[in-house]
Amino acid sequence: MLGRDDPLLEADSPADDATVIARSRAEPEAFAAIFDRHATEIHRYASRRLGAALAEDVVGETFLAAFRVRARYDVTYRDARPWLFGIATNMIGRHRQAEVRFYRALARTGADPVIESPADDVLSRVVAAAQRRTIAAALAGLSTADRHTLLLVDWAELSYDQAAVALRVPVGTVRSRLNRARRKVREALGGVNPMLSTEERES
Amino acid sequence: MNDLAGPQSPEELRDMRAQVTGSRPEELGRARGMLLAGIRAAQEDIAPGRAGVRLATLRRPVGPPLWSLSGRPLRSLVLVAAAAAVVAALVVSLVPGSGTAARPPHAGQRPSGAGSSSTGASGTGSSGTRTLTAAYILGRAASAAAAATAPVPRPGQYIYVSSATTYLSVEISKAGDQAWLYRTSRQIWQSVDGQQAGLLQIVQHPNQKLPWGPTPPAISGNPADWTSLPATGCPGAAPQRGTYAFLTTLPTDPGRLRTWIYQHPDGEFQRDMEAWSDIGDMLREMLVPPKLAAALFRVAATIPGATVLPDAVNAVGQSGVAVSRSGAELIFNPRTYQLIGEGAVLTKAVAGQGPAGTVIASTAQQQARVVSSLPDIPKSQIDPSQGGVSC
Repeated sequence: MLGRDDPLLEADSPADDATVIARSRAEPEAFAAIFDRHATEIHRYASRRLGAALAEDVVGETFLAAFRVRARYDVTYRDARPWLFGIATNMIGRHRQAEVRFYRALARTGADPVIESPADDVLSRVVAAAQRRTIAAALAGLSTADRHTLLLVDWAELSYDQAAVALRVPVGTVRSRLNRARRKVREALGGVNPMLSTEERES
Repeated sequence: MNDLAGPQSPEELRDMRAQVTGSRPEELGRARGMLLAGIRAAQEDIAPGRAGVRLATLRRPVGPPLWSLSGRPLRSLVLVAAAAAVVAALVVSLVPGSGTAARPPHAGQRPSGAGSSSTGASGTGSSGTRTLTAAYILGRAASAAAAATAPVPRPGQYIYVSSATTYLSVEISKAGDQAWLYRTSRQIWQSVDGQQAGLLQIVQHPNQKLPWGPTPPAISGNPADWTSLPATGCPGAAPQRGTYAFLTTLPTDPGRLRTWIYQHPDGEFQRDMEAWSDIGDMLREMLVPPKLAAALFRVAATIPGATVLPDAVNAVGQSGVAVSRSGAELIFNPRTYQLIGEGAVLTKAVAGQGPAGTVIASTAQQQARVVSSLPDIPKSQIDPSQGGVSC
Protein backbone atom coordinates (compact mmCIF):
# COMPACT_ATOMS: atom_id res chain seq x y z
CA MET A 1 0.00 0.00 0.00
CA LEU A 2 1.31 3.39 -0.92
CA GLY A 3 2.44 5.73 1.77
CA ARG A 4 2.36 3.35 4.68
CA ASP A 5 5.72 4.72 5.71
CA ASP A 6 4.98 8.28 4.78
CA PRO A 7 6.12 10.25 7.82
CA LEU A 8 3.92 13.19 6.90
CA LEU A 9 0.70 11.28 7.35
CA GLU A 10 -0.84 9.49 10.26
CA ALA A 11 -1.37 5.80 9.90
CA ASP A 12 -5.11 6.27 9.55
CA SER A 13 -5.50 7.94 6.22
CA PRO A 14 -6.85 10.48 5.46
CA ALA A 15 -4.92 12.76 7.78
CA ASP A 16 -7.08 14.18 10.53
CA ASP A 17 -7.54 17.91 10.98
CA ALA A 18 -4.77 18.24 13.55
CA THR A 19 -2.28 16.61 11.19
CA VAL A 20 -3.28 18.83 8.29
CA ILE A 21 -3.11 21.97 10.42
CA ALA A 22 0.29 20.97 11.76
CA ARG A 23 1.50 20.40 8.22
CA SER A 24 0.12 23.75 7.10
CA ARG A 25 2.51 25.56 9.43
CA ALA A 26 5.37 24.81 7.05
CA GLU A 27 3.21 24.37 3.94
CA PRO A 28 0.52 27.02 4.10
CA GLU A 29 -1.34 25.69 1.05
CA ALA A 30 -2.21 22.52 2.94
CA PHE A 31 -4.71 24.55 4.95
CA ALA A 32 -7.04 24.61 1.95
CA ALA A 33 -8.03 21.07 2.88
CA ILE A 34 -9.47 22.37 6.16
CA PHE A 35 -11.67 24.71 4.16
CA ASP A 36 -12.81 21.87 1.93
CA ARG A 37 -13.75 19.74 4.89
CA HIS A 38 -15.61 22.24 7.03
CA ALA A 39 -16.69 25.26 4.98
CA THR A 40 -20.11 23.81 4.23
CA GLU A 41 -21.19 23.29 7.83
CA ILE A 42 -19.75 26.60 8.96
CA HIS A 43 -21.65 28.23 6.08
CA ARG A 44 -24.86 26.50 7.07
CA TYR A 45 -24.50 27.59 10.67
CA ALA A 46 -23.70 31.18 9.76
CA SER A 47 -26.58 31.20 7.26
CA ARG A 48 -28.96 30.04 9.93
CA ARG A 49 -28.00 32.90 12.16
CA LEU A 50 -27.40 35.70 9.66
CA GLY A 51 -28.74 34.69 6.26
CA ALA A 52 -26.78 33.59 3.23
CA ALA A 53 -25.61 37.06 2.23
CA LEU A 54 -23.61 37.74 5.39
CA ALA A 55 -22.74 34.09 5.91
CA GLU A 56 -20.25 33.82 3.09
CA ASP A 57 -18.27 36.74 4.51
CA VAL A 58 -18.34 35.04 7.89
CA VAL A 59 -16.98 31.84 6.32
CA GLY A 60 -14.16 33.71 4.61
CA GLU A 61 -13.32 35.67 7.76
CA THR A 62 -13.45 32.52 9.85
CA PHE A 63 -11.06 30.46 7.75
CA LEU A 64 -8.70 33.37 7.17
CA ALA A 65 -8.56 34.03 10.92
CA ALA A 66 -8.13 30.33 11.62
CA PHE A 67 -5.30 30.14 9.09
CA ARG A 68 -3.53 33.08 10.71
CA VAL A 69 -3.62 31.55 14.18
CA ARG A 70 -2.97 27.97 13.05
CA ALA A 71 0.37 28.00 14.90
CA ARG A 72 -1.57 28.16 18.15
CA TYR A 73 -3.91 25.29 17.34
CA ASP A 74 -3.77 22.56 19.97
CA VAL A 75 -3.04 19.47 17.92
CA THR A 76 -4.30 17.19 20.67
CA TYR A 77 -7.76 18.08 19.32
CA ARG A 78 -7.96 15.88 16.24
CA ASP A 79 -11.23 17.42 15.06
CA ALA A 80 -11.04 21.13 14.23
CA ARG A 81 -14.81 21.72 14.34
CA PRO A 82 -15.02 23.18 17.87
CA TRP A 83 -12.12 25.51 17.11
CA LEU A 84 -13.63 26.62 13.80
CA PHE A 85 -17.10 27.09 15.29
CA GLY A 86 -15.54 29.16 18.05
CA ILE A 87 -13.89 31.48 15.54
CA ALA A 88 -17.09 31.57 13.49
CA THR A 89 -18.98 32.54 16.63
CA ASN A 90 -16.71 35.55 17.08
CA MET A 91 -17.28 36.55 13.46
CA ILE A 92 -21.04 36.11 13.78
CA GLY A 93 -20.88 38.18 16.96
CA ARG A 94 -19.65 41.13 14.94
CA HIS A 95 -23.03 41.10 13.21
CA ARG A 96 -24.95 40.96 16.47
CA GLN A 97 -27.17 43.90 15.62
CA ALA A 98 -28.13 42.45 12.25
CA GLU A 99 -28.86 39.07 13.80
CA VAL A 100 -31.14 40.53 16.46
CA ARG A 101 -32.82 42.77 13.90
CA PHE A 102 -33.69 39.68 11.84
CA TYR A 103 -35.17 37.89 14.86
CA ARG A 104 -37.23 40.95 15.71
CA ALA A 105 -38.47 41.29 12.17
CA LEU A 106 -39.51 37.64 12.20
CA ALA A 107 -41.23 38.03 15.55
CA ARG A 108 -43.06 41.11 14.35
CA THR A 109 -44.13 40.03 10.89
CA GLY A 110 -43.92 36.23 10.79
CA ALA A 111 -41.72 36.50 7.71
CA ASP A 112 -38.16 35.35 8.27
CA PRO A 113 -35.66 37.62 6.54
CA VAL A 114 -33.12 34.80 6.67
CA ILE A 115 -35.26 32.38 4.67
CA GLU A 116 -37.17 32.57 1.46
CA SER A 117 -40.63 31.46 2.47
CA PRO A 118 -41.12 27.77 1.68
CA ALA A 119 -44.29 26.78 -0.08
CA ASP A 120 -45.98 25.10 2.86
CA ASP A 121 -49.71 24.78 3.03
CA VAL A 122 -51.42 27.75 4.56
CA LEU A 123 -52.47 26.17 7.87
CA SER A 124 -49.10 24.75 8.86
CA ARG A 125 -47.47 27.95 7.85
CA VAL A 126 -49.72 29.89 10.16
CA VAL A 127 -49.14 27.50 13.06
CA ALA A 128 -45.40 27.32 12.45
CA ALA A 129 -45.29 31.03 12.07
CA ALA A 130 -46.75 31.61 15.50
CA GLN A 131 -44.15 29.42 17.17
CA ARG A 132 -41.39 30.79 15.04
CA ARG A 133 -42.31 34.34 15.95
CA THR A 134 -42.27 33.42 19.60
CA ILE A 135 -38.91 31.73 19.44
CA ALA A 136 -37.42 34.53 17.41
CA ALA A 137 -38.55 37.00 20.01
CA ALA A 138 -36.99 34.85 22.73
CA LEU A 139 -33.70 34.59 20.83
CA ALA A 140 -33.65 38.33 20.37
CA GLY A 141 -34.02 38.75 24.10
CA LEU A 142 -31.11 36.52 25.10
CA SER A 143 -27.72 37.86 26.01
CA THR A 144 -25.17 37.40 23.23
CA ALA A 145 -23.19 34.86 25.27
CA ASP A 146 -26.30 32.81 26.04
CA ARG A 147 -27.41 32.90 22.41
CA HIS A 148 -23.99 31.77 21.17
CA THR A 149 -24.00 28.89 23.60
CA LEU A 150 -27.57 27.80 22.89
CA LEU A 151 -27.20 27.84 19.12
CA LEU A 152 -23.79 26.12 19.08
CA VAL A 153 -25.46 23.22 20.85
CA ASP A 154 -28.89 23.23 19.23
CA TRP A 155 -28.03 24.35 15.70
CA ALA A 156 -24.36 23.49 15.20
CA GLU A 157 -24.91 20.32 17.26
CA LEU A 158 -21.73 20.63 19.26
CA SER A 159 -21.54 18.66 22.50
CA TYR A 160 -21.26 20.59 25.76
CA ASP A 161 -17.54 19.84 25.82
CA GLN A 162 -17.09 21.01 22.25
CA ALA A 163 -19.06 24.18 22.92
CA ALA A 164 -16.81 24.82 25.93
CA VAL A 165 -13.75 24.51 23.68
CA ALA A 166 -15.34 26.73 21.05
CA LEU A 167 -16.27 29.45 23.52
CA ARG A 168 -13.20 28.97 25.73
CA VAL A 169 -15.27 28.73 28.88
CA PRO A 170 -15.56 25.91 31.41
CA VAL A 171 -18.14 23.29 30.60
CA GLY A 172 -20.03 24.30 33.73
CA THR A 173 -20.51 27.73 32.23
CA VAL A 174 -21.88 26.15 29.06
CA ARG A 175 -24.36 24.20 31.18
CA SER A 176 -25.57 27.20 33.17
CA ARG A 177 -25.90 29.37 30.07
CA LEU A 178 -27.87 26.65 28.35
CA ASN A 179 -30.16 26.18 31.30
CA ARG A 180 -30.93 29.86 31.41
CA ALA A 181 -31.40 30.22 27.66
CA ARG A 182 -33.57 27.15 27.30
CA ARG A 183 -35.75 28.15 30.22
CA LYS A 184 -36.43 31.49 28.57
CA VAL A 185 -37.34 29.89 25.27
CA ARG A 186 -39.62 27.36 26.99
CA GLU A 187 -41.32 30.04 29.01
CA ALA A 188 -41.91 32.04 25.89
CA LEU A 189 -43.46 29.10 24.11
CA GLY A 190 -45.54 27.91 27.03
CA GLY A 191 -46.83 31.25 28.19
CA VAL A 192 -48.76 34.01 26.53
CA ASN A 193 -45.86 35.07 24.35
CA PRO A 194 -45.09 38.14 26.43
CA MET A 195 -42.06 38.94 24.32
CA LEU A 196 -44.04 38.72 21.14
CA SER A 197 -46.66 41.09 22.45
CA THR A 198 -43.91 43.38 23.66
CA GLU A 199 -42.49 43.41 20.19
CA GLU A 200 -45.91 44.11 18.73
CA ARG A 201 -46.52 46.95 21.09
CA GLU A 202 -43.21 48.44 20.13
CA SER A 203 -43.91 48.34 16.45
CA MET B 1 -24.16 12.45 24.18
CA ASN B 2 -25.04 15.78 25.67
CA ASP B 3 -25.48 16.35 29.34
CA LEU B 4 -29.06 15.53 30.19
CA ALA B 5 -29.23 17.75 33.24
CA GLY B 6 -31.47 20.74 32.88
CA PRO B 7 -34.21 21.49 30.42
CA GLN B 8 -33.82 20.44 26.80
CA SER B 9 -34.52 22.89 24.05
CA PRO B 10 -37.95 22.65 22.51
CA GLU B 11 -38.08 20.97 19.15
CA GLU B 12 -39.38 24.18 17.63
CA LEU B 13 -36.08 25.85 18.39
CA ARG B 14 -33.97 23.03 17.05
CA ASP B 15 -36.07 22.97 13.89
CA MET B 16 -35.99 26.70 13.33
CA ARG B 17 -34.35 27.46 9.98
CA ALA B 18 -33.31 23.82 9.79
CA GLN B 19 -34.07 23.88 6.09
CA VAL B 20 -31.13 26.25 5.59
CA THR B 21 -28.32 24.49 3.75
CA GLY B 22 -24.65 25.29 3.53
CA SER B 23 -23.02 25.78 0.17
CA ARG B 24 -20.40 23.36 -1.07
CA PRO B 25 -16.77 24.55 -0.82
CA GLU B 26 -16.50 25.13 -4.55
CA GLU B 27 -19.58 27.37 -4.42
CA LEU B 28 -18.02 29.58 -1.77
CA GLY B 29 -15.64 31.33 -4.16
CA ARG B 30 -15.54 34.64 -2.31
CA ALA B 31 -14.82 33.00 1.04
CA ARG B 32 -12.22 30.71 -0.44
CA GLY B 33 -10.59 33.68 -2.18
CA MET B 34 -10.14 35.36 1.19
CA LEU B 35 -8.40 32.29 2.55
CA LEU B 36 -6.24 31.81 -0.54
CA ALA B 37 -5.11 35.42 -0.37
CA GLY B 38 -4.00 34.77 3.21
CA ILE B 39 -2.23 31.59 2.19
CA ARG B 40 -0.42 33.38 -0.58
CA ALA B 41 0.70 36.13 1.75
CA ALA B 42 2.09 33.48 4.10
CA GLN B 43 3.94 31.85 1.24
CA GLU B 44 5.48 35.19 0.43
CA ASP B 45 6.71 35.32 4.01
CA ILE B 46 8.28 31.90 3.64
CA ALA B 47 9.77 32.60 0.21
CA PRO B 48 9.96 36.39 -0.14
CA GLY B 49 9.75 37.90 -3.57
CA ARG B 50 7.87 35.02 -5.13
CA ALA B 51 4.67 35.73 -6.91
CA GLY B 52 3.59 32.17 -6.86
CA VAL B 53 3.41 28.92 -5.06
CA ARG B 54 6.70 27.55 -3.93
CA LEU B 55 6.92 24.54 -6.18
CA ALA B 56 9.95 22.91 -4.66
CA THR B 57 12.75 22.97 -7.16
CA LEU B 58 10.36 23.83 -9.95
CA ARG B 59 9.26 27.03 -8.33
CA ARG B 60 8.14 29.45 -10.95
CA PRO B 61 9.91 32.78 -10.82
CA VAL B 62 7.18 34.83 -12.47
CA GLY B 63 3.48 34.77 -12.86
CA PRO B 64 0.40 34.22 -10.83
CA PRO B 65 0.21 31.18 -8.63
CA LEU B 66 -0.97 28.01 -10.24
CA TRP B 67 -4.00 28.29 -8.08
CA SER B 68 -5.37 31.68 -8.91
CA LEU B 69 -7.91 33.80 -7.15
CA SER B 70 -10.08 33.89 -10.24
CA GLY B 71 -12.11 31.02 -8.92
CA ARG B 72 -11.73 28.36 -11.53
CA PRO B 73 -11.97 25.13 -9.64
CA LEU B 74 -9.17 23.29 -11.33
CA ARG B 75 -6.74 26.10 -10.89
CA SER B 76 -7.53 26.67 -7.29
CA LEU B 77 -7.80 24.08 -4.60
CA VAL B 78 -6.71 21.13 -6.62
CA LEU B 79 -3.50 22.90 -7.44
CA VAL B 80 -2.98 24.17 -3.98
CA ALA B 81 -2.88 20.54 -3.10
CA ALA B 82 -0.52 19.91 -5.96
CA ALA B 83 1.87 22.45 -4.61
CA ALA B 84 1.60 20.95 -1.16
CA ALA B 85 2.37 17.56 -2.51
CA VAL B 86 5.43 18.69 -4.39
CA VAL B 87 6.86 20.47 -1.41
CA ALA B 88 6.07 17.56 0.83
CA ALA B 89 7.80 15.26 -1.59
CA LEU B 90 10.91 17.29 -1.53
CA VAL B 91 10.94 17.50 2.24
CA VAL B 92 10.79 13.75 2.28
CA SER B 93 13.58 13.53 -0.21
CA LEU B 94 15.85 15.64 1.94
CA VAL B 95 15.75 13.21 4.80
CA PRO B 96 19.30 11.90 5.09
CA GLY B 97 19.77 8.46 3.73
CA SER B 98 16.69 8.43 1.54
CA GLY B 99 17.19 6.63 -1.72
CA THR B 100 17.93 8.18 -5.05
CA ALA B 101 15.13 8.51 -7.52
CA ALA B 102 14.59 6.02 -10.26
CA ARG B 103 13.80 7.97 -13.38
CA PRO B 104 10.62 6.96 -15.14
CA PRO B 105 10.78 6.50 -18.88
CA HIS B 106 7.88 8.85 -19.48
CA ALA B 107 6.07 11.58 -17.60
CA GLY B 108 3.96 9.96 -14.96
CA GLN B 109 3.58 6.74 -16.87
CA ARG B 110 5.86 4.61 -14.88
CA PRO B 111 4.01 1.39 -14.30
CA SER B 112 5.94 0.25 -11.27
CA GLY B 113 4.16 0.61 -7.96
CA ALA B 114 0.98 -0.46 -9.68
CA GLY B 115 2.35 -3.98 -9.89
CA SER B 116 4.73 -4.28 -12.79
CA SER B 117 8.18 -2.82 -12.69
CA SER B 118 8.85 -3.12 -16.38
CA THR B 119 11.19 -0.51 -17.74
CA GLY B 120 11.71 -1.97 -21.14
CA ALA B 121 9.13 0.05 -23.03
CA SER B 122 11.33 3.05 -23.60
CA GLY B 123 14.64 1.32 -23.55
CA THR B 124 16.11 2.35 -20.25
CA GLY B 125 19.32 0.44 -20.54
CA SER B 126 21.14 2.65 -18.12
CA SER B 127 23.47 0.05 -16.76
CA GLY B 128 26.99 0.38 -18.05
CA THR B 129 26.65 4.06 -18.81
CA ARG B 130 27.23 5.25 -15.27
CA THR B 131 30.71 6.47 -15.99
CA LEU B 132 29.37 9.93 -16.73
CA THR B 133 29.40 12.27 -13.79
CA ALA B 134 27.06 15.17 -13.17
CA ALA B 135 30.06 17.49 -13.19
CA TYR B 136 31.01 16.25 -16.66
CA ILE B 137 27.48 16.79 -18.04
CA LEU B 138 27.30 20.26 -16.51
CA GLY B 139 30.75 21.09 -17.86
CA ARG B 140 29.60 20.16 -21.37
CA ALA B 141 26.48 22.26 -20.86
CA ALA B 142 28.63 25.20 -19.75
CA SER B 143 30.83 24.94 -22.82
CA ALA B 144 27.79 24.76 -25.08
CA ALA B 145 26.22 27.77 -23.41
CA ALA B 146 29.40 29.82 -23.63
CA ALA B 147 29.67 29.11 -27.35
CA ALA B 148 26.07 30.06 -28.04
CA THR B 149 24.91 33.45 -29.20
CA ALA B 150 21.85 35.15 -27.84
CA PRO B 151 20.16 38.43 -28.66
CA VAL B 152 20.71 41.24 -26.19
CA PRO B 153 17.43 42.92 -25.34
CA ARG B 154 17.01 46.65 -24.82
CA PRO B 155 15.09 48.21 -21.94
CA GLY B 156 11.41 48.34 -22.82
CA GLN B 157 11.52 45.05 -24.67
CA TYR B 158 10.25 41.67 -23.52
CA ILE B 159 11.66 38.19 -23.15
CA TYR B 160 9.28 35.73 -24.78
CA VAL B 161 9.45 32.06 -23.78
CA SER B 162 7.16 29.20 -24.71
CA SER B 163 7.14 25.98 -22.78
CA ALA B 164 5.15 22.88 -21.95
CA THR B 165 4.56 21.77 -18.40
CA THR B 166 3.19 18.73 -16.64
CA TYR B 167 2.55 18.83 -12.92
CA LEU B 168 1.17 16.27 -10.56
CA SER B 169 -2.19 17.50 -9.37
CA VAL B 170 -3.46 16.14 -6.08
CA GLU B 171 -6.99 16.42 -4.83
CA ILE B 172 -7.33 16.10 -1.08
CA SER B 173 -10.52 14.35 -0.11
CA LYS B 174 -11.91 12.48 2.83
CA ALA B 175 -11.64 9.24 0.88
CA GLY B 176 -7.89 9.77 0.48
CA ASP B 177 -5.75 11.86 -1.81
CA GLN B 178 -6.01 11.27 -5.54
CA ALA B 179 -3.56 12.34 -8.19
CA TRP B 180 -3.38 12.87 -11.91
CA LEU B 181 -1.23 14.88 -14.30
CA TYR B 182 -2.17 18.46 -15.11
CA ARG B 183 -0.74 19.59 -18.46
CA THR B 184 -0.38 23.02 -19.99
CA SER B 185 1.33 24.98 -22.70
CA ARG B 186 2.64 28.34 -21.56
CA GLN B 187 3.67 31.49 -23.37
CA ILE B 188 5.18 34.24 -21.27
CA TRP B 189 6.23 37.78 -22.07
CA GLN B 190 8.36 39.34 -19.34
CA SER B 191 9.47 42.93 -19.24
CA VAL B 192 13.27 43.02 -19.55
CA ASP B 193 13.67 45.33 -16.56
CA GLY B 194 10.39 44.52 -14.85
CA GLN B 195 9.14 48.07 -15.29
CA GLN B 196 6.20 47.13 -17.48
CA ALA B 197 3.48 44.60 -16.99
CA GLY B 198 4.03 41.31 -18.75
CA LEU B 199 1.65 38.71 -20.08
CA LEU B 200 1.15 35.01 -19.60
CA GLN B 201 -1.00 32.61 -21.55
CA ILE B 202 -1.79 29.20 -20.13
CA VAL B 203 -3.48 26.66 -22.37
CA GLN B 204 -4.76 23.67 -20.48
CA HIS B 205 -4.55 20.24 -22.04
CA PRO B 206 -6.66 17.31 -20.94
CA ASN B 207 -5.60 15.87 -17.62
CA GLN B 208 -3.74 12.62 -17.86
CA LYS B 209 -4.56 9.57 -15.82
CA LEU B 210 -1.88 7.87 -13.74
CA PRO B 211 -1.81 4.08 -13.89
CA TRP B 212 -2.62 3.88 -10.19
CA GLY B 213 -4.87 6.94 -10.06
CA PRO B 214 -8.50 7.78 -10.77
CA THR B 215 -9.90 9.00 -14.06
CA PRO B 216 -9.11 12.72 -13.89
CA PRO B 217 -11.78 15.39 -14.20
CA ALA B 218 -12.39 17.10 -17.53
CA ILE B 219 -11.00 20.62 -17.91
CA SER B 220 -13.42 23.12 -16.49
CA GLY B 221 -13.58 26.79 -17.29
CA ASN B 222 -11.77 28.47 -20.12
CA PRO B 223 -8.98 26.22 -21.43
CA ALA B 224 -6.91 29.20 -22.63
CA ASP B 225 -6.29 31.92 -20.08
CA TRP B 226 -4.47 35.21 -20.42
CA THR B 227 -3.11 36.80 -17.29
CA SER B 228 -1.40 40.12 -16.87
CA LEU B 229 1.87 39.94 -14.95
CA PRO B 230 2.50 42.88 -12.65
CA ALA B 231 5.44 45.20 -13.08
CA THR B 232 8.07 44.50 -10.44
CA GLY B 233 10.45 47.39 -10.81
CA CYS B 234 10.56 51.18 -10.87
CA PRO B 235 12.68 53.54 -13.00
CA GLY B 236 16.02 54.21 -11.35
CA ALA B 237 15.68 51.36 -8.88
CA ALA B 238 17.77 48.18 -8.96
CA PRO B 239 16.05 45.46 -11.02
CA GLN B 240 14.23 42.77 -9.09
CA ARG B 241 15.31 39.15 -8.95
CA GLY B 242 13.55 37.24 -11.68
CA THR B 243 14.12 39.83 -14.40
CA TYR B 244 16.59 39.69 -17.27
CA ALA B 245 18.05 43.00 -16.09
CA PHE B 246 18.80 41.44 -12.71
CA LEU B 247 20.69 38.58 -14.34
CA THR B 248 22.98 41.08 -16.07
CA THR B 249 24.10 42.34 -12.65
CA LEU B 250 25.43 38.93 -11.55
CA PRO B 251 29.10 37.95 -11.82
CA THR B 252 29.93 35.59 -14.68
CA ASP B 253 33.04 34.25 -13.00
CA PRO B 254 31.97 30.84 -11.61
CA GLY B 255 33.78 31.30 -8.28
CA ARG B 256 32.29 34.71 -7.61
CA LEU B 257 28.88 33.57 -8.84
CA ARG B 258 29.00 30.57 -6.52
CA THR B 259 29.76 32.83 -3.57
CA TRP B 260 26.89 35.12 -4.53
CA ILE B 261 24.42 32.24 -4.92
CA TYR B 262 25.28 30.74 -1.54
CA GLN B 263 25.08 34.14 0.12
CA HIS B 264 21.69 34.98 -1.43
CA PRO B 265 19.43 31.96 -0.95
CA ASP B 266 15.99 32.53 -2.38
CA GLY B 267 14.24 29.95 -0.24
CA GLU B 268 14.62 27.77 2.77
CA PHE B 269 16.08 24.48 1.59
CA GLN B 270 19.28 23.14 3.01
CA ARG B 271 22.07 25.29 1.49
CA ASP B 272 23.31 22.99 -1.28
CA MET B 273 19.75 22.14 -2.28
CA GLU B 274 18.79 25.79 -2.17
CA ALA B 275 21.69 26.67 -4.48
CA TRP B 276 20.67 23.89 -6.88
CA SER B 277 17.08 25.06 -6.74
CA ASP B 278 17.96 28.73 -7.22
CA ILE B 279 20.02 27.92 -10.30
CA GLY B 280 16.98 26.17 -11.75
CA ASP B 281 14.89 29.23 -10.96
CA MET B 282 17.27 31.51 -12.81
CA LEU B 283 17.28 29.32 -15.91
CA ARG B 284 13.52 28.79 -16.09
CA GLU B 285 11.38 30.67 -18.63
CA MET B 286 14.23 33.05 -19.32
CA LEU B 287 16.70 34.01 -22.00
CA VAL B 288 19.86 33.78 -19.92
CA PRO B 289 22.93 35.68 -21.17
CA PRO B 290 25.34 33.01 -22.50
CA LYS B 291 28.25 33.81 -20.18
CA LEU B 292 25.98 33.73 -17.16
CA ALA B 293 24.34 30.48 -18.27
CA ALA B 294 27.79 28.93 -18.59
CA ALA B 295 28.74 30.14 -15.12
CA LEU B 296 25.48 28.83 -13.63
CA PHE B 297 26.20 25.36 -15.01
CA ARG B 298 29.78 25.50 -13.70
CA VAL B 299 28.48 26.43 -10.24
CA ALA B 300 25.94 23.60 -10.39
CA ALA B 301 28.81 21.24 -11.17
CA THR B 302 30.38 22.11 -7.82
CA ILE B 303 27.28 21.30 -5.78
CA PRO B 304 27.67 17.91 -4.11
CA GLY B 305 25.07 15.19 -4.36
CA ALA B 306 24.03 15.35 -8.01
CA THR B 307 23.65 12.21 -10.10
CA VAL B 308 23.29 11.49 -13.81
CA LEU B 309 20.14 10.15 -15.48
CA PRO B 310 21.19 9.02 -18.96
CA ASP B 311 17.66 8.42 -20.23
CA ALA B 312 15.61 11.40 -19.10
CA VAL B 313 12.60 12.73 -21.01
CA ASN B 314 11.23 16.26 -21.02
CA ALA B 315 7.58 17.31 -21.02
CA VAL B 316 7.19 16.95 -24.78
CA GLY B 317 8.87 13.55 -24.96
CA GLN B 318 12.33 14.61 -26.11
CA SER B 319 14.91 12.34 -24.62
CA GLY B 320 17.95 13.76 -22.97
CA VAL B 321 20.54 13.34 -20.33
CA ALA B 322 19.76 14.81 -16.93
CA VAL B 323 21.57 15.79 -13.79
CA SER B 324 19.49 15.24 -10.69
CA ARG B 325 19.70 16.24 -7.07
CA SER B 326 17.07 14.98 -4.63
CA GLY B 327 14.69 14.35 -7.48
CA ALA B 328 15.17 17.79 -9.10
CA GLU B 329 16.51 17.45 -12.63
CA LEU B 330 18.00 19.62 -15.34
CA ILE B 331 17.57 17.89 -18.71
CA PHE B 332 19.97 18.48 -21.62
CA ASN B 333 19.99 17.54 -25.26
CA PRO B 334 22.43 14.59 -25.32
CA ARG B 335 24.25 15.88 -28.43
CA THR B 336 24.20 19.68 -28.11
CA TYR B 337 23.97 19.90 -24.30
CA GLN B 338 21.38 22.63 -24.58
CA LEU B 339 18.95 22.79 -21.66
CA ILE B 340 15.66 21.30 -22.90
CA GLY B 341 13.65 21.16 -19.70
CA GLU B 342 13.39 20.25 -16.07
CA GLY B 343 11.93 17.40 -14.13
CA ALA B 344 11.05 16.52 -10.56
CA VAL B 345 10.19 13.08 -9.23
CA LEU B 346 9.12 11.65 -5.93
CA THR B 347 12.11 10.13 -4.20
CA LYS B 348 9.81 8.13 -1.97
CA ALA B 349 6.27 6.78 -2.19
CA VAL B 350 3.65 9.28 -1.02
CA ALA B 351 0.10 8.24 -0.16
CA GLY B 352 -2.37 9.23 -2.83
CA GLN B 353 0.36 10.44 -5.18
CA GLY B 354 2.41 7.51 -6.28
CA PRO B 355 5.47 5.40 -5.80
CA ALA B 356 9.04 6.65 -5.80
CA GLY B 357 9.93 7.83 -9.28
CA THR B 358 6.52 9.34 -9.97
CA VAL B 359 6.96 12.47 -12.06
CA ILE B 360 5.63 15.40 -10.08
CA ALA B 361 6.84 18.06 -12.48
CA SER B 362 8.13 18.03 -16.02
CA THR B 363 8.79 20.95 -18.32
CA ALA B 364 10.10 21.61 -21.79
CA GLN B 365 11.44 25.01 -22.76
CA GLN B 366 10.67 25.48 -26.44
CA GLN B 367 11.37 28.97 -27.72
CA ALA B 368 13.09 31.95 -26.13
CA ARG B 369 13.48 35.25 -27.94
CA VAL B 370 13.37 39.01 -27.58
CA VAL B 371 10.25 40.84 -28.72
CA SER B 372 9.42 44.53 -28.72
CA SER B 373 5.79 44.44 -27.75
CA LEU B 374 3.11 42.37 -26.12
CA PRO B 375 0.61 40.57 -28.35
CA ASP B 376 -2.59 42.46 -29.02
CA ILE B 377 -5.06 40.72 -26.75
CA PRO B 378 -8.39 42.40 -25.93
CA LYS B 379 -8.34 43.62 -22.34
CA SER B 380 -11.58 41.82 -21.63
CA GLN B 381 -9.83 38.51 -22.16
CA ILE B 382 -7.01 39.18 -19.69
CA ASP B 383 -7.20 38.41 -16.00
CA PRO B 384 -5.85 41.35 -14.06
CA SER B 385 -2.63 40.79 -12.20
CA GLN B 386 -2.43 40.67 -8.44
CA GLY B 387 -0.03 42.92 -6.62
CA GLY B 388 2.88 44.54 -8.36
CA VAL B 389 4.54 47.84 -7.65
CA SER B 390 3.39 51.40 -8.01
CA CYS B 391 6.21 53.82 -8.65
